[in-house]
Amino acid sequence: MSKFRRLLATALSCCLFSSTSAIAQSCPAGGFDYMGVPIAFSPDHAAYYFATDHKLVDADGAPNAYHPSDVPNTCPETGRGIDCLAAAGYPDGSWWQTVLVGDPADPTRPAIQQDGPYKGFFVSMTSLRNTEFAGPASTASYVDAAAIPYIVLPAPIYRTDGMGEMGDIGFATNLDTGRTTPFVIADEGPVERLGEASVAFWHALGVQAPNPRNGEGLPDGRIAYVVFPGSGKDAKIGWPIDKAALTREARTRLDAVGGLAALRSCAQPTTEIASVSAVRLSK
Amino acid sequence: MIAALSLALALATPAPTPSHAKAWTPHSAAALLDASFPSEQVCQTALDAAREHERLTPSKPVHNLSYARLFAQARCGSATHTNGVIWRIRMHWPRRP
Repeated sequence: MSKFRRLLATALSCCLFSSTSAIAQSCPAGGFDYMGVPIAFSPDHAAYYFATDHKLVDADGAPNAYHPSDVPNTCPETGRGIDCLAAAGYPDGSWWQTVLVGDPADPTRPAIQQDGPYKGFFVSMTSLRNTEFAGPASTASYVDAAAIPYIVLPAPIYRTDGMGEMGDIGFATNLDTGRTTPFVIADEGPVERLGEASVAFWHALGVQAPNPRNGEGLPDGRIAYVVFPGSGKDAKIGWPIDKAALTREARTRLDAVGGLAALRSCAQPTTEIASVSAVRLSK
Repeated sequence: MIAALSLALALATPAPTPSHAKAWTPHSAAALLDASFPSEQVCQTALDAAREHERLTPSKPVHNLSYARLFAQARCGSATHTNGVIWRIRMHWPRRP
């Protein structure tokens, strides 16, 4: 490292320590760890924070997510559906009926879209749904992963009190690039790490829509999240979900807890921020 | 979506008791966490069976989280539903100070 860079690193880490320590005073200290990721709650439990570099793409809810002519139980690089049938557990997984709408005439197989631009595709569901909007067999009753930034809560997190319900909202930022996105909690995952989210979520935090089949195109960087449990009760995001309204509602709540600076600071320990910056400067 | 299916099953039929014949998987354990039970006793029986199966034949952990540790954090709790009280497994993670 050159002398100039060392000086710059020292100066920046001093700034980082002083600026983040000011914010850190209002950052929550308590919480718990899930699969090695520290989760921290605000004192009133109206928000919780975490950061992870684990990333997984969910295509569920996209009208073109799964196609019956794709090869069952495998995940080739390409196919008609944007995701492979293995990801839906079809046909031999135990969980495909939680991902694909069953055919009313024969519930042992998935229903196929009868009309619309994706006629012939399966109907893919999300846990967040509004079946009164268009009926259980319509893709419009679910959250389109390609259009709406959403996150997936692992089942053990979803089944922990205070971690939020389907329809609650939050905000995320890519700590490496500064890109941001609001999000809604729209799906539940299996026992897995935090960091699964929709195609639209990853597109917003990166430069392209990732391929759900192999994760190609996922953004680099560590992602910080803040979730606002209970926010779904009064957040007016509409149905189908209005992205502008989602942004507005999530931004309002983010600002109320200290904005992006608080998110960046509270989602990961101060020492971690400083050491990451120092490493980057030394490259 | 797993939850909706589990709840529908619970309300329509006797409580589902997930099979413990096979090794636990991320999806089968999630289905247990999402299941609804008609009484605390049925819930506790299912949870005890899950722990016992894992004790006898440990399944592959998920990112260093063993199913034994996962189920150790689980407790049965009641919840009010439109059709009455149901019982579910809730997670209680050890808190950092």
